[in-house]
Amino acid sequence: MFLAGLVGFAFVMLFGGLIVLARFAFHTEDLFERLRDIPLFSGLYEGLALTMEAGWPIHYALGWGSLWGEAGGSALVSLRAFQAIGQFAMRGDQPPDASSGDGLVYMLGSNVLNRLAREQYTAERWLDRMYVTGFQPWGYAAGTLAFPLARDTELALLLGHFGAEGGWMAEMAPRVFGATDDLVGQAVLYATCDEALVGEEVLAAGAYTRAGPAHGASLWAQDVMRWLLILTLFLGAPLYVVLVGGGG
Amino acid sequence: MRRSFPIAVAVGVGSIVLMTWFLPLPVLEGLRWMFLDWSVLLTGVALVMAFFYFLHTQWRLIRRRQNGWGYRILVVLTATGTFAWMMFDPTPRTASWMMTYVLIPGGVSLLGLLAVVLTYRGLWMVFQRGGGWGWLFFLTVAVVLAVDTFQATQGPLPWTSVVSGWLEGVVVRAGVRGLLLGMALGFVATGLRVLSGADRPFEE
Amino acid sequence: MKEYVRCSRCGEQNPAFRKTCEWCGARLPHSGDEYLPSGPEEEQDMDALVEPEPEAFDTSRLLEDESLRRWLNEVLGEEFVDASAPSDVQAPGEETEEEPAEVPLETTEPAPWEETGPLSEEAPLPEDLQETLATLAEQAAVEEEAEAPAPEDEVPPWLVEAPEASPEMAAGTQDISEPVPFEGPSEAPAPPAPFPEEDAREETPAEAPVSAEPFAQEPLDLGEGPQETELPPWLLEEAPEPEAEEAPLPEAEGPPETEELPPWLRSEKEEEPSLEETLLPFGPEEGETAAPTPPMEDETPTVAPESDEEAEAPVEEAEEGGPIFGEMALDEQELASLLDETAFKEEAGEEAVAEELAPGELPDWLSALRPEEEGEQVAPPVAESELAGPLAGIPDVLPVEARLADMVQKEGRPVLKLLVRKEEQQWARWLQHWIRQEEAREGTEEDVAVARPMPYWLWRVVVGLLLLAVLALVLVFGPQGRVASPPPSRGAQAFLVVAQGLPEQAVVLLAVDYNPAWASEVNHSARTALRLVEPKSPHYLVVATQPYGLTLAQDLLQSVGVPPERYTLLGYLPGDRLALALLARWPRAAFPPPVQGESPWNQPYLAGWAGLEDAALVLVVTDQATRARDWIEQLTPYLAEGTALAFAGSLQIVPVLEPYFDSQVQGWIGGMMDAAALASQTQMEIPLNLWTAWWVSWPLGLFLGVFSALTLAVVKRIRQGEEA
Repeated sequence: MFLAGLVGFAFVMLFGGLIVLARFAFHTEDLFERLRDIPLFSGLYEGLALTMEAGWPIHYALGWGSLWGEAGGSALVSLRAFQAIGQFAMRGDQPPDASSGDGLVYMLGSNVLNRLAREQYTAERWLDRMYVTGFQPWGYAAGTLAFPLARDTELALLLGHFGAEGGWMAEMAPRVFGATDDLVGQAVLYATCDEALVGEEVLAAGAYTRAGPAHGASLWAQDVMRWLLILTLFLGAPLYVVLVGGGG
Repeated sequence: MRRSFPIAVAVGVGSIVLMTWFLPLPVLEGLRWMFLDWSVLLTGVALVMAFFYFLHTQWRLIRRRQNGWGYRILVVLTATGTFAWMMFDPTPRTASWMMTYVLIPGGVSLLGLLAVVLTYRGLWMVFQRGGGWGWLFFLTVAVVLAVDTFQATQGPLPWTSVVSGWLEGVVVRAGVRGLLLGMALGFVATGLRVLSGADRPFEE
Repeated sequence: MKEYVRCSRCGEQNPAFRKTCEWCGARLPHSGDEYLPSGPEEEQDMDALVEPEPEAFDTSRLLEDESLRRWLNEVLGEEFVDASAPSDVQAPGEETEEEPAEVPLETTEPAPWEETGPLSEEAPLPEDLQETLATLAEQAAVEEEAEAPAPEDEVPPWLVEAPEASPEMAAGTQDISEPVPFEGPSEAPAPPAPFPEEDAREETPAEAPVSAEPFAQEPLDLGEGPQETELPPWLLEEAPEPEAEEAPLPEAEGPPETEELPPWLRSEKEEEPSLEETLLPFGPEEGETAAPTPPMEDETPTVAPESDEEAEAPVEEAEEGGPIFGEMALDEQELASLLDETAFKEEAGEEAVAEELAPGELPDWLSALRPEEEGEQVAPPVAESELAGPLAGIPDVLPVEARLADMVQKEGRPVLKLLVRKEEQQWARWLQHWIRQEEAREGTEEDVAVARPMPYWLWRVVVGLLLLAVLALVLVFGPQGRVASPPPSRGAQAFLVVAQGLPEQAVVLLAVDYNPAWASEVNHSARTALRLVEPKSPHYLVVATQPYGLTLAQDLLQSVGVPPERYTLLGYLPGDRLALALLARWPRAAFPPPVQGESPWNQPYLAGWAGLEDAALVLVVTDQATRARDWIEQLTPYLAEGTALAFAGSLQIVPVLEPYFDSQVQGWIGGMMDAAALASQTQMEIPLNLWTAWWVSWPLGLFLGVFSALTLAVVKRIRQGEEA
C-alpha cells in the first residue's frame, strides 16, 4: 500500500515537474502553435464571429456538474474557457448568456463575467447574464433549453459536464457545439451537435482558447505522460504475464 | 494580500489532501479528514444557495418580461410551494407521492423525448456527414449489435453473438479504457494547475 | 515619445512610425509631424509673422457659392432656390476667379423662404449661422492657401502665422543644430476606447490618454529652442476635440511675405512620405520649399528626442518592430552633417530617404466640411468589401480580407514591413482559414436548402410517430406469452452467486445514486437485485448521494416487500466524491446523530459496526458510469476481503465495470437485459405486458433507428457516386 502510494506520489510530482518545465522552457506561442487543429474550436470562433456580426445572441452552457465530484475537472476547464471566449464575445453588441446547474459554478461564473465587464468597461450590458436554470441533468436541460429558445439564440456552446440530456440540449440553437467529460454524453453530443469533442479534448479547451500559458504547458506535459503510460503498458503487460501469469 | 490569501488557502489545503492521499502521515491525516468534512458541509450549503440562485434567476427573467415569463411564474410558485410543503409535512408519504407522480413521470418523459431526438438527429447526421466508408463501418457494427439484441429472443443468426461479443469485449472495452486513461491524465493536469496557482477560478 | 498611435477613424493602434493606419488606411493623426525638425535655439519673435486680423467677413458673400447655399438649405431644411450672389467682397488672400453669373438676391417675386427663412435679406441671420458661416469662410480661405502651390521661395502659411519665428527662420537660413523636444499638454481627457479589448490584450503598456486639443491649452514647447515660442491661434484651435461643443478655428490667414526659408522648413508637397522619410528628423534640401505642416490633432506627438544623450534609432531597429522612433536623437554634428545635401546623398544609398518634410494636410474632419468645388475631384477611398458572412458585399466592413493573401504567405513571412505581433499573426491565420473554408464550401444557401429533404420539426414528428407506432404494434400484436430471454451476462451470473452466498441477516449497505428519469430502467435492475438478496433477510443501511435518493430507496424497498424494521435510512450525503471518501473511511462521522430523534446507529444490529468492513455486501444503484467508477475508487481501499461490491443499474455502466470485474467488483445487473435474464432464470414474477413492452419494443426500436441510418448512409453514398 505504501509502495503504491509512493509510486502515485512520484507520478504526480513528475507530472507537475513537466508542467513547470514546459511553462518556463518553451515560449508560450510555441506551446499553442504545436496544437493540432480541432474542428470544434476553429468552427467555434468562426461561428462566434459570424453570429456577432449578425447581432444574434450566444448561449454558453457550463453544465450541471459541481466542482466536488467527477465533473470538477470539466467544470474548472469550462470556467477558464468561458473567460477566454467571453472576452472574444464582448466585441458583439449582444452579450452572451451563461447557464449552470450548480450554485458554486454559478458564483464562479459570475465572477468571470464581472471581471470581464470591468476590464472592458461594459458593466451594464454584462450584469445579470449568468443564470442557474435548473438542477441535476434533466432539470438543468429543461431550464436551459427554454432559455435560449426565448431569446432566439443563434449559437450555443455546451462545455462542461453533460450526460445523455446533452442530446436534447442540442436543440437549443441552430448551431451547437458540445464538449463533455462524460462518456455517454460524448457519444450523444457527437451524434447531435454540429461539432463535438471526444475523450480528453474537453480538458484541453483551456489551451485551445488561449486561456493561459499554463494550459499549453500542461497539455504538453500530458502528452509526455501519455507516452510514458503507453510505454509502461507495452512493457508491463508481457512482464505481468511472464511473472504473474495473467489470463482471461 | 487580498488576492494572495485565497490562492494560499487553495494551494495549502489541496497540497495537504494530496500528500496525505499518497503518504498517509499521521500528522496530516487528521487535517485531511477535517478538510473533507468541511467540504461536505460546504456542498450542502452550496445546494441550498443554488436553490435561491435559481429563484433569483427566474425572478430576473420575469422582471425582464422575456419570452415565456408566464411559465417562469409557474416555476417559481411550484418550487416555493413544494419547498414549503416539504418543510411542513416531511413525511415519507408526501415525498413518495411527489416522486411517483411528478419527478419520475417528468424525467421519464424527457428521456423518452431524448430517444426521439437521438434517432432523428442521428439520421440527420448520417445524411449530412455520412456516406464515407468510416460511416458505413460504424453503421454496420450498429446493425450487427442491434440484430444480436433483437434476435436474442428469437433469430437464426448466431454469428452475430460472436461478433458482438468480440466487439464489446475487445474493441469497446479497450476503447473505453483508453478514453478513461486520457481523461484521467487531463483531470490530474487540471488539478495540478489549481494546486500550483496557475488556475484561479475563485479569483474576482 | 509614443510607441504607438491610435487611428482616429477605426481606433486601432499603430506603430508610431506609420503615416497611415494599417487597419483602415486612414491617415494617422501625427503623420510624421513628430519628426519635424525642431525650431531654432534662439528665441524668436513669432508675433512679427502674424498678420493683423482681417476685417470682418461679410457672410452674404457665402451666397456666391452655389454648393454652399445648397448645403445650407439642406441643413436648415429649406427648399433650395437659386439666389443671386451678393457683392464682390473677397476673402483676403483669395485669388480672384471668374465669378459665375448668378441671379441676384433681389428678385421681383421673393420666394416664401426668402421672406421668412434664414437666407432672406430682410431676416437677419441667426447668430449661430453667422458664426458657422464665418468659420466656413475662414476655412475656405485657409484651404485655398494650403492648396495653392507655394512658390519655391514662399514661406508656408503655417510658418508665417507661427508666433515668435526668428528672422533666421523666416529667412530660411536657420541652422538647426540640435533637435528640440516637443511636449504636449500634461493632462488630457481620456477619450472612450472604441476597441477596449485591444487594450486588454496588448502586451505593450497602455498609452496615456491624450488630449483632443493639445494646442488649445498650452503653447507649443520646443524645448531648448526658442523659449517663448507660441503657435498662432489658428494652429492652436485647429486641433479637433470630439467632445467639445465648438472647435474654434484659426483666424489668421494668408501666407507670410518672407522669401527665404531654412532648408528644414522647406518641403515639397507629397502624398505619402515613405517609411524612411519619417525616420530622420531633418528638413528638406536646399532650394526646396517646405510645405505647411498639418495642424496637430488629438494625439500628442513628439517632435524630436528630448536630449542629446538619447541614442539614434537606425532604420534596422524599425524593421525589427521595436517602437524606438520616439527615441531618435541626433547630436549637433550628426544633424549638421545630415543637413548637408552632399552628405545626405552619399549616405542615402540605394534606398533614397526623403529629406523633405511631410506635406501638411488638413485633418479629416476639416476636409469633410469643405464643400466640393467644380472641377475638383476627390478620389474616393478604396473600399474593400467583406467576402463572407452576413455582411458580404458591404464595403469598409472588414478591410483586411483583400490584403490577407498578400500579407501572410504560406510560410508566414510577411510581405510588407509591418509590425505584426504574434497574436495578430494568429488572427490573420484565422481569417485565412475562414476565407479558405468559404471558398471550399460547396454550394450556396439554396443548394443547402435543396439538400435538406424536410424541415427539422417534420423530422421530429415523423420519427416520434414511427417509434410510437413500433411500441403500439408490439403491445397489440406482440407475443402475449413470456418470451425466451438470453443467458445473463457474466456480471449478472456473478451477482447471483454473491446474493446466494450472503450469510443470514447480514448487513447490506444500499446506496441509491440515480436520477428519477432513469427509474424506468434502473428500477427493474434494482428490484431484481433486491429480490435476489431478500431470501437472506438482510438488514439494509440506506445511503443516498442525491437529494431524492432516500425517497427512491424507500419506494424500492417497499415495492420488494421489505418491512420498515429491516432498513435504516442513514441520510443524504452531499459532496459527490468527497462524501464517498468520508463514508468509506468513517461512516459514523459522515452521518452524525441527529439533533432530534433517535440516532440510526442505535439499531441493535449495528452494535459494534465500525465501518464498511463489517458489511457483507455494498449494493450501489446508479445510472452513471462515472459515478460507478467513483464508488469503486473511493470504497475498495476500505472494504474487507469478505465484503462484496456489486452494482445494479443502467446498461451504460457495464463498459466501465468490466475492467474492475473480479478484482474490485464482484457482480452487477446492467439494464433490463440482465434483469430479465436473472428473473427468468430464477422464475421471478414480472408483469407480462411490461415484459413485452420493454423487452421486445426496445430492440425493435433500436433496430429501426439503426436500419434507417444505414439506409440513409447507403443512399447518400450512391448519390455521391453518381454525382462524381
